[in-house]
Amino acid sequence: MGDIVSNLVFSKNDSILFPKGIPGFEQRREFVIVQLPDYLPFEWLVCTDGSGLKFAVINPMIFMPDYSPNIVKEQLEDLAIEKPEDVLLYVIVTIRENPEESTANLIGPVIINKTRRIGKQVIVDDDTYTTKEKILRKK
Amino acid sequence: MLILTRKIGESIRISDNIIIKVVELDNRHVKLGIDAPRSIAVNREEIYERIQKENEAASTAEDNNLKNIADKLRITKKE
Repeated sequence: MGDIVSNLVFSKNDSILFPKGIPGFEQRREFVIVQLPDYLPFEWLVCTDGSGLKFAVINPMIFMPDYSPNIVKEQLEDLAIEKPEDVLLYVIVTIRENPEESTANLIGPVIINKTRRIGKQVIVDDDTYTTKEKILRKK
Repeated sequence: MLILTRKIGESIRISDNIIIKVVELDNRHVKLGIDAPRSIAVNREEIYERIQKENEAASTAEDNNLKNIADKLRITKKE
């Protein structure tokens, strides 16, 4: 059973630049978004530098439709977003052995301008959300 | 690390556009006011560290377990 990234071929056109990396991985600047049928609605944010670094990500609206982090537009200035259709919104998932316990980091949403292919992890400094929100929520 | 002594109401200026002011002081807390361009990220250090840590944890998780969650999430959506 191979790692999901080991067989991937990246096209330079697909890569998304994270000019400052992401916290903890400040030197990793180029990623691609990979969708694999078995994992949907999760997707993968995979570093293209061959390091094997990858993150499971998901659009938070899928499990939390009322997610509305407090982000000011200046935080997104460097993404040069011109229209809402440019934007991809993800949160990073921490997979636990017990699926029920898996969490998403809602204070560090990943925002990508897919037109310009540039992204960043935004830090949401308010106490509404945490780094460990359960994805499978009890009804 | 540069260490400066300030009284309540006094400030520090960093470069030409960042001002940090000591607003309030009690036993164990300092309230700081920060004037900076909005494009400069100002965060409590522990928030940045929390995200850093979570990113590290997220990067080492076992892929295969995600398939189970994906299945469950698809089922939940259908209900």
